[in-house]
Amino acid sequence: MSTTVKTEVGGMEHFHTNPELNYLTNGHSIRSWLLTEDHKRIAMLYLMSVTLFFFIGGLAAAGVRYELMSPAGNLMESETYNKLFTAHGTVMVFLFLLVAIPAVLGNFLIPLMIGARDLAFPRLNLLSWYLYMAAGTCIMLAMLAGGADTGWTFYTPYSSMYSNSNVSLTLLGVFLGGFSSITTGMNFVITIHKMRAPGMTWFRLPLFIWGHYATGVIMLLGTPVVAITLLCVIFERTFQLPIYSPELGGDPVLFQHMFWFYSHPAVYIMILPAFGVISEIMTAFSRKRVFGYHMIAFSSLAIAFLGFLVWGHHMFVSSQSMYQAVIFSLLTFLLAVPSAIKVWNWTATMYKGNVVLSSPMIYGIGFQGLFLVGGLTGPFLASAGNDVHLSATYFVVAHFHYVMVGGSIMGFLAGLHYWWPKMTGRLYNESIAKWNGILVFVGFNLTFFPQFIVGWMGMPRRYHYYYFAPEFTPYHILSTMGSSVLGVGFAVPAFYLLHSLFKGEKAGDNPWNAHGLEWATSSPPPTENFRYKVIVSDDVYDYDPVAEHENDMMAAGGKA
Amino acid sequence: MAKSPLAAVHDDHGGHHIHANSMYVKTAGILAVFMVLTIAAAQIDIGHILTKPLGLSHQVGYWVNNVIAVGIAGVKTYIVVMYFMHVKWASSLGKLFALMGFFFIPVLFSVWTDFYFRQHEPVAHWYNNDYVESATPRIIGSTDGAKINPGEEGTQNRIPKSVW
Amino acid sequence: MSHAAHGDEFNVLKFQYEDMDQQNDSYIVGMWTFLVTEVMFFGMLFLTYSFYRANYQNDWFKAHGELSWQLGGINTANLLFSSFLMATAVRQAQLKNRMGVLMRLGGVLACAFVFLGIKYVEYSEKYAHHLFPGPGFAPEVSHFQGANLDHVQLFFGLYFAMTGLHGVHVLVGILVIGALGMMWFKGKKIVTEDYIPTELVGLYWHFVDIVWIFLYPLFYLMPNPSAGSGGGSH
Repeated sequence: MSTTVKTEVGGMEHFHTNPELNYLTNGHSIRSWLLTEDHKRIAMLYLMSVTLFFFIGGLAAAGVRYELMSPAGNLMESETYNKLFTAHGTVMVFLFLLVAIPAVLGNFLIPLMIGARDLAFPRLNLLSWYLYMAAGTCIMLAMLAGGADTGWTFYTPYSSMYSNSNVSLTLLGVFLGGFSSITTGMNFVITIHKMRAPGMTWFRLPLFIWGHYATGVIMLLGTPVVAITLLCVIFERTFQLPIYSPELGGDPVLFQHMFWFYSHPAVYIMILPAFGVISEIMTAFSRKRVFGYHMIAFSSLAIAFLGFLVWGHHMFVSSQSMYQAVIFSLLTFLLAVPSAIKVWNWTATMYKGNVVLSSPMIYGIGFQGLFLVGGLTGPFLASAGNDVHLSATYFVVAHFHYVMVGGSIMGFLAGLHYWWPKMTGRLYNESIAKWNGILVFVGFNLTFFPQFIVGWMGMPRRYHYYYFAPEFTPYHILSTMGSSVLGVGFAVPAFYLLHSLFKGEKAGDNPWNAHGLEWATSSPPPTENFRYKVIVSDDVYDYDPVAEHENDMMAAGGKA
Repeated sequence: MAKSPLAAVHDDHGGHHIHANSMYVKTAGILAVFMVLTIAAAQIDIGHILTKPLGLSHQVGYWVNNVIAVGIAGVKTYIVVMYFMHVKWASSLGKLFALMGFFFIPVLFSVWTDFYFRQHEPVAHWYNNDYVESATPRIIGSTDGAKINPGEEGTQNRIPKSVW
Repeated sequence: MSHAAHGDEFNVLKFQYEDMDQQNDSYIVGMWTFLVTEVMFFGMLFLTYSFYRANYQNDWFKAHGELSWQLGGINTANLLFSSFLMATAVRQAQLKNRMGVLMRLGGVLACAFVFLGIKYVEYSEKYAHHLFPGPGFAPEVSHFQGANLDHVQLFFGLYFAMTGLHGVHVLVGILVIGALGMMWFKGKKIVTEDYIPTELVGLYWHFVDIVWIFLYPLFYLMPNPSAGSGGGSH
């Protein structure tokens, strides 16, 4: 189906690979995994570590939810509760969301999709995994030593002066994780610029690549700012070097500015790759070229750029100038435009498409629904006046969980299901996967929709009890019930995906009959990605629904 | 494809420019001149010069001093980036990324608009020096009573509104 | 055809690249993306600096009198010279002149050590005068002509943070240049056959110089913000 030109070339001798071998079977020693420079193996290492941290963060979330079942707060001490939600936030944001899609799917697919043999800097890629593991180790050690209680935002002066918990070690972990992120971003940007196969022009790039390019740029420009900001907090705690000390005339709000200067764009590090995944899935399972390719591509870049100009909306109630708040409010509303462009275009892609409801598509449609709710509650919070009421309530919590969990994690699951046959060469049980997609969607809404209501009613974020308002109880109970369903929904894929590794049917090279270079090579791909020289001569997403329909008719007619 | 990568390097002498030694010497010379200039400019109190004959605020001269200092540093940076770091002869992609960081510094500095606007707020702002009385002692490593009261001129440190 | 990794034949072209142009440009632009992150890294500190400096002009002016602009000036010239040596070392690497590279890299290393030596003198002097912020901060009040000592402490906080982080970069530079010099000394083909590694280290070292170009006037050469005192900054 693909008109990719394949030319047999030499130059592959340095791989010394048997044509029978793929990247998984090319070397079985632990050393061949831990010292690998193969982007596909590094992606698998990332997949394993990311999953581990996801379940650790999930356990902390479960603790938080069970604590909130009763208004009295009698399951644990306030301090323990603070440490639990900090652990949940830190692990989920820095060890899971920022890493999951770029480092697993991005690492695996970017070279495959652009027809390269590897990323531009394979050794740097391995280094980024080790930095990530060092970050994870620091954060885990800090948790074992008693944990931090500042929340994942580490606001000063509490974090720099007053907190007696393990803030420095946690911060060091985040700092190292930042460098892991920077190296990944460098690799992506340079790879996409320099490593494209002949004929792979910018507008033949899959939208997944555009999403990751924008992500890489944010990683490069934003991450160092938060790294140095958190380093300054470490300095302040350990050497008592005053940087933000209010008692000396320093300004803690400066910390918030610098923290959100990164951490708001970081939201787009989490969601832009998911946008890329969904664009791929929508077009592949609607059997139709994606609607408005250029608009989706440019909206990724627009989000990356505008994302740097809206950080102040996190500070509407924290002594930021109110005139500044007006500007940030306006810019935040502007950001809704490129996000909406994407959602409209995906919907338009499905419209009159030949939609196939396979499991990745179920997760993908779930993503669209949840992201829509998450996105549309954004303008509530972007209005500075309204935000005075909603700031630091469960409304905010629900909003960003709809975007982060409903967007990023659903996108990750959708992508994992879509490319699993490519990554492992095996097919999982499709009907369990479909039902699980629906389970996650239901469980998610059950967990987080009540939080919108209870937040609107005034339930504050990060509170350990709410005996002052027992009328919140039913919503919290609903939410906790939902979180149990959600927990099951997240655990089940681990089982059927692992099961497929051993018992799954062999997937062909292109089980979804999708378009794209990654489907043109074998599953799992060989270490050198392509056994031939790739020259691209056809357009991206060159689906032809009419021809497909005619083929189906012919096949049906032939049988009759 | 047919030629060896080593051969590519040898053929490529035109591709990466090998510059004359004199280019580096000249660049270093210009940088040295600017270094002397920046030290010299700092010794002149331009505020003092402008105040008497021109009747301008001393603060104006102070800012002229600062703009000169940072401006010279900017020019030196430009020279180092262009000539020592070979950006002048780099690919357009190289130029793009070399400039990107410097382009984003102004975006970062837009944080300043907040601190500017705060001075026009109808509510008290943070540098009203009231923090000295209300400061709570540090929990980690307290200052052991070493806190020293603000000097006589403590209140004069605020930026005069006329300038801002 | 590219050479397989057998025998003593050395393959400059890494397997993931098609040709040397692609590889060289990737490395150089890659280094620049790293420097972009470094620019943002220091940018945040300069922002913090600009903000406190603008708010505490008088106090910071009085505090900066404790720094020796002469020592800072020597270090500025020193780094400038090392930058020049580094640039010519890259030129020698392009000419594949091993001795030329080694001598110039040695010069750069010497400059870097002199820089850190002067920094050590400056820091130990500050430390002896109890100017390091924190519980030990107990300066001679008379030195600061009535400046608010809290703000003086902020000044030294940022002074140590910014010059300290710059110093860490110099230290890393010493390690990297040392490693590069070692490879040239041993005649490793990864550096002798291809000038790019030397160029990349050079880019890093020039960046360290650029940071100091800003640090020097901002910390050591402040103009006097208050009227009537006359004279220069010293």
